[in-house]
Amino acid sequence: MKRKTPTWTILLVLFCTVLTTSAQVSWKYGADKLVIDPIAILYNYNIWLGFFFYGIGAILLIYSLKYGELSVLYPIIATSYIWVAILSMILFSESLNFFKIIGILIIVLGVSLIGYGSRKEDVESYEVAI
Amino acid sequence: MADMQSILIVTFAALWGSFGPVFFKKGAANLTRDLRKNLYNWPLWIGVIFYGTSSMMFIYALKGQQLSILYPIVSTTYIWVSMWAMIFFNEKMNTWKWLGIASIILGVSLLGFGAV
Repeated sequence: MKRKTPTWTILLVLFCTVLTTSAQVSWKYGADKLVIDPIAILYNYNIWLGFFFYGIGAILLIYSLKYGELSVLYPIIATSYIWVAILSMILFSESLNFFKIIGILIIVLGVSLIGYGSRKEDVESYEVAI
Repeated sequence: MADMQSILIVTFAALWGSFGPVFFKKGAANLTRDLRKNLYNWPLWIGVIFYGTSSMMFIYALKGQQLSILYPIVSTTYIWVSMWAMIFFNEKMNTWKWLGIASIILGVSLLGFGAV
């Protein structure tokens, strides 16, 4: 059975969300020591590292869109909210509260439902074909 | 409270930004192993422009505002992208996928509530 959105494209987009979250963390560090001076910005390696992570993330996202469905792969980007919440807790000691924890769990549920719906669709079109 | 101006900007930015992935998907079909040719893949650059400009609008509008009101609006972008996937790429949505989108919007909204 041919899958419209192969599993590897889903995993690749998940990896993209880790990269873009790393970019945001890097920018957060860079912004903390940001001064309005072109030379200082040039040496603010956190800013450049952020762009690097973002760029690689975008390229991998585009590559996975070549082989998978937009309606399945795009919502997976929502998992980046989860990494942001967890990393903010670890690195910037921002607290997780009840709303955030439930929110994270529901996002996980949502992404799983989309994955499930996409497989369901594959099975249905396979059954129609035979 | 979130002021009216921020609400309007975020509503627009969510719709505007949803065209970014549409152009990425369109350009992705023509990706080649010749790296230099990919630089002339104009839909990819249009996608980058949509993404970049909507990000700037979000950064401007979200700053210092109450996220419990704005995060749900930010996540309407997932509805738009699903609609464009159906319209422009003939992808099929089903009950499970729509339930997934609804859950993601609810989850992101709760994160906004937790951020207060």
